[in-house]
Amino acid sequence: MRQGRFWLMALCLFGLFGCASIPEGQQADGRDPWERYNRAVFDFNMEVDAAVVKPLAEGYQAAVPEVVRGMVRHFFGNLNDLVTSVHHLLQGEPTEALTAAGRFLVNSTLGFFGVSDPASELGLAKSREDFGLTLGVWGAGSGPYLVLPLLGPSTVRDGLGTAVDMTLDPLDPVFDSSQSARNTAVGLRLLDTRVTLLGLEPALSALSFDRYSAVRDAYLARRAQQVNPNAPFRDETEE
Amino acid sequence: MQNHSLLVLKSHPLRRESPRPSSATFRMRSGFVLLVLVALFGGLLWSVPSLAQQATAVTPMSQRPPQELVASVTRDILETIKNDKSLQQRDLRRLSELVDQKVMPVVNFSRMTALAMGRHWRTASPEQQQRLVAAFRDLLMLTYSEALRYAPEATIDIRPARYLPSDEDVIVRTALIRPGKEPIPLDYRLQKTPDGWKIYDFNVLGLWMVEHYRSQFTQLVSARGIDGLITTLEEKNQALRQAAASGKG
Repeated sequence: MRQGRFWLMALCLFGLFGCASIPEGQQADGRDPWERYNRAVFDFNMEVDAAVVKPLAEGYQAAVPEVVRGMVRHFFGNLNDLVTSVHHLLQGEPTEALTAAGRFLVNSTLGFFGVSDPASELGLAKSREDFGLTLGVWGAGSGPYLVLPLLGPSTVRDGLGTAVDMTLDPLDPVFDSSQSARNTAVGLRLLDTRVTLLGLEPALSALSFDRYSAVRDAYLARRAQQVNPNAPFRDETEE
Repeated sequence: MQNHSLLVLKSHPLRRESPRPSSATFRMRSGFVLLVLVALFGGLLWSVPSLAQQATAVTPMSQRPPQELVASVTRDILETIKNDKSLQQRDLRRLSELVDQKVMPVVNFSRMTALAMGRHWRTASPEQQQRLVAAFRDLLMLTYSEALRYAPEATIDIRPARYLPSDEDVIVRTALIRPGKEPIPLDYRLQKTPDGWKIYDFNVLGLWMVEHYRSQFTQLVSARGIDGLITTLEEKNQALRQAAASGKG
């Protein structure tokens, strides 16, 4: 059953291959050698988003009051602090690791299982790390840009990181007993993420005339900055 | 900005006559520590000596050193938004006034547009250049108008940086801090001009605007020409204005 679904999806993606074309005037980007494939997956993701995910997110935003959505956001954010703490440690940042772990401890107890965020009031700053960034800090280059089906912009390195992060998802031990509860939680987390992105859409629309390359450039720039915040400016300005 | 506070603190033990002798020793010691710190970092941080000169006279905004210029402009803007409900509700006319009053005087915007246009800038007529500058200004303003609603709870953190007095082109790194959320990095590129330091590029979450728009614009110009780019920009701005207006109600 599971495998059947995989092949079905692979077939769908293969079918999309032919449809993607690179717009006129577009210059090839060295960081994106698989642009034709990536554009196909990007279009596929956009269609799935427009047909399913975005309407659900808008419905969730309309139906659930902000107070409750805030609790949901904090709950997932709290679990993420734990993951972030481990990554800070792996990246050789003990202070940040302690801060993130402190956030998790404070919010899991005083914050009532993480639904509120007293740690921020205590001055423990929020941060977010993942395995892709850890690999980057260890010196791994990002590799080619890669758009993942359903998951969106990534690179070879970050895709590998995402795979590792998914197998170590803290939701698994939390919802150990019930598979359906876990799936609900995963769905809710997705909606929560999508709702926060709703507010960014006007900005993204202004940044992009070709949405694909704008998302790609923004993603790669953000990840590069997260791996090395003080990287020297790459000066390509020509007058 | 840390330099600034250091400097203010440094003068404290001299000015204050302590009524309680017990705490005076502590104050003297902390004053001494601060003096040592200032002495140590004063050599590295170029802005410290120039700050000292400024303590005596009011300097026009654009004559200030880059870090202090960015700090005062961004804090001033945040403060204005905090005290203005119509801005928080994305009143675009008010926002446009704010941009003209507080942002444009410290930005070399024609340079920024020229850089974003790359090699196509020189092929544009003066009239086209003028329209490009205006449309690009509106586009950037509309891009970040959504951020207005986050401003009331936000503060600006100026990241430490090292400059040489001879530097004429510097990057000031800052971060927008909001409680409970990840900081948003905001960096500015400034160039020394006869009118003082001017911002000519900035980056949000790692994305430099000049570089980003240059690749978007190049693509559009080769497909539709410069007039096509201007039309596309103006249409985009129109659509964003409408979206902002409908989103408000």
